[in-house]
Amino acid sequence: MTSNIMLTLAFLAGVLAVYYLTPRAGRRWILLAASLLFYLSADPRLLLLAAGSALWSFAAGIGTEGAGTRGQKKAWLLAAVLPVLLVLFVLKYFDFFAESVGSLLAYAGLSVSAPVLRLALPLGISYYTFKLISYNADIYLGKREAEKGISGCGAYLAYVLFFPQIVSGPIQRSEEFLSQLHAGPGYDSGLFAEGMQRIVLGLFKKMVIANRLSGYVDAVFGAPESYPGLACVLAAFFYSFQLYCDFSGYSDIAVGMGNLLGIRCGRNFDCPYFSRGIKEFWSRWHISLSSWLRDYIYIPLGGNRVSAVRRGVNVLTVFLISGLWHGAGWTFIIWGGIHGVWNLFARKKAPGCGPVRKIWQTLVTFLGVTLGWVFFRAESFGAALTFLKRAVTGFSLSYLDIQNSILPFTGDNTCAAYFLTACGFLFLLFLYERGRVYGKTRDRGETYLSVFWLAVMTVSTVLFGVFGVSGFLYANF
Amino acid sequence: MKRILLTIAGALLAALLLVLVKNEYARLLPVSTYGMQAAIAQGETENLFIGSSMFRQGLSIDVLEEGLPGSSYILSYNGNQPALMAMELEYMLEEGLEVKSLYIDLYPYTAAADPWLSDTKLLLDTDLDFKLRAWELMRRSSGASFSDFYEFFVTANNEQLLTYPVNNALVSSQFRNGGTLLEQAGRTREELYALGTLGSRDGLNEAQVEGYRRLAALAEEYDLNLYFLETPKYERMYADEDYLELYGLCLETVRGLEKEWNGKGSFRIICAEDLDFDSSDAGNFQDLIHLSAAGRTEYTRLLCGAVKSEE
Repeated sequence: MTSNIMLTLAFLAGVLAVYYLTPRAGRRWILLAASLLFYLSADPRLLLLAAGSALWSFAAGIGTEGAGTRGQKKAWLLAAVLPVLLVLFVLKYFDFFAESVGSLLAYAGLSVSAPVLRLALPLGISYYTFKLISYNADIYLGKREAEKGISGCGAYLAYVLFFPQIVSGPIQRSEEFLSQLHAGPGYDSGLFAEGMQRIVLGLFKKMVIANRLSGYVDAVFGAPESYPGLACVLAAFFYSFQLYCDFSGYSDIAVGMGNLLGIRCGRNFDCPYFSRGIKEFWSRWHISLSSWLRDYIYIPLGGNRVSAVRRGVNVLTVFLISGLWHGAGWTFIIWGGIHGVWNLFARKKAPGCGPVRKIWQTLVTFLGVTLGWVFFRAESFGAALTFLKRAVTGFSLSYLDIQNSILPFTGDNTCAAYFLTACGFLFLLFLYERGRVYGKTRDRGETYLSVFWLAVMTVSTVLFGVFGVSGFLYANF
Repeated sequence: MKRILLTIAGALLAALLLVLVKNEYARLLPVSTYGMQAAIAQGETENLFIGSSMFRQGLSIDVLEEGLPGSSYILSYNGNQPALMAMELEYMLEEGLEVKSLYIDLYPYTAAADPWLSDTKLLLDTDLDFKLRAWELMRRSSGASFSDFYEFFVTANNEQLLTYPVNNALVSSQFRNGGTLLEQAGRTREELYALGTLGSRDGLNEAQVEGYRRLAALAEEYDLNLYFLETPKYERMYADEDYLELYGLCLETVRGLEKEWNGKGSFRIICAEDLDFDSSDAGNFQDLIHLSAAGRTEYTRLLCGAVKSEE
């Protein structure tokens, strides 16, 4: 169920029926029961760990609030945060660090066999860990009160394990979520309609575009030497779109599912490939993570109110952590490093400039981001370099190379049809997002879909959805 | 809210309508140079070859037209099975296609498989009734799931239809009378021995055996000459006990049909071993079971000689 969006939506339909038949005050318990059931279907053993972490965070929150001195509060905060970070480190990063240290020692001529744990990663651990940390940090900073009592405990567990958000986020803040839950989420036709539009948009991005591109991207990234350079260039661009449509598609669906349950949540993506610079890109891409990193790492480190050197170190730290959050591997750290350095030297773009300059800035940003995604997608640093080398040295626009670059879509004579269809849908998405960024629809609310777009996206999903591909790229992080 | 619900409902209705139109009328799109509709559009063909990719890669349309009397047409779908071949033949004959001689692909692995439609191009060539019967056959014998049903009726071929003007021109240029015009190169012995084997099967499938019977019955009913052809396989296949066992069962089945044959036309089985084809020459093969362009030309020449010698 956790890797199949249609099953998740069917599950949601069942939950909705029970949810709205239950009085407002009891709905948090329905949400909690549904979230526990959802987690149980994916990961019965590790549910104990997730729920246990949440209960510990809940208890530590009460402790932090009740502590008399700042030192005691700090001790409670550390007691809340360190265990969950330790669990995250052991489960997600231990093998990576152990192997890296082992390789380093081997390089230095020392033969040490690094212990490898190969532990299963709990569903959504990176997401719920960040939720737990922000909750306890907010209490420590006096931004919110701790949840208390059985009712508060139930609401907090429902927040941490909220089933639409557990697989791939967004990392919604506790204050925003819990205030709605305590008020007793009711049926709001406007919000319900917003949710349905978000789900249609998300399904279109995920099923029609991301799933369609995944086979091509996997084939070319899996063996770049077997394909012409043009195929590598296409695969890099297609991966940019696949990742965006997969992740933002899931985010749209998750936020939309929350809307159907009467829970509001801010957008997680805002047409990021229309950004004119890297700073703007990070204000539009995975907004819940970048704002989390800003609020809980960058600002506590001093933010902008420090020397230029220290600020540079802070920016780099944030992006390296962002890279590491995405995965335990050097490719993610390098990807984070690239973005960190780029951010360091980037300046905010002046709002008023001509259309040609705007297009140029947008293209340069997109190309740079795509280059970064190559490291993000590759199995290793060496594989990324091999891929890029092949893209440059093997590039030509001969008829044979064009033919062989389209072939990975299906491997037979229908590949041209699949290639043209994929390009057609990407163009549709471009038109839609261009309207959102530069057109009139931006003023109509962040989820507004005109009748035309709603109909096009619904029909496209039914007729052109690729339903055989399960899972979400960002669920792996 | 009302706007959203009405739009989504309208879009779903439109999608359903498009699905129905596609399944019934997509076959009426201007015919290309391969597939059932192109064969039917010809009205008649002296020699009709029905098979899988063995026939597409194994038969040269140029050599057939030179070597056999009258016109020839190669109808091939990937993984085409006897049960489906019988349905295809029946469909084309009912649509008015006139045939004199029928050549059927005798490939043991398709005869051993559960009924399944591997090449969705077949769905573009047929009406809704054919699809429903094919689906029923698959569902009954292979336990097809809802997602298979969805792909079969809703999503199959949509990309080809959406890009029809470009796609049809591109693909049609690769065929003439169903025969491929692509020139696939042969392999080396080392390459062919490095390929994995095709695995084992548990005897012939009853629905496929019934398909062979139905093909023979149709040939009798329409007074056709009936040929079963085994295209050459690389020597390694003839050392494979699983393949030989299935091959033996296939031969036994069609020989049984030969004994019961009451048709006005002739009945003949032509196996690769009956011809002077060099199955040990790796240059004749693309892989263990498909011929290269050179192998295709040579095999078709030998086949035409064998057919003519009988006449």
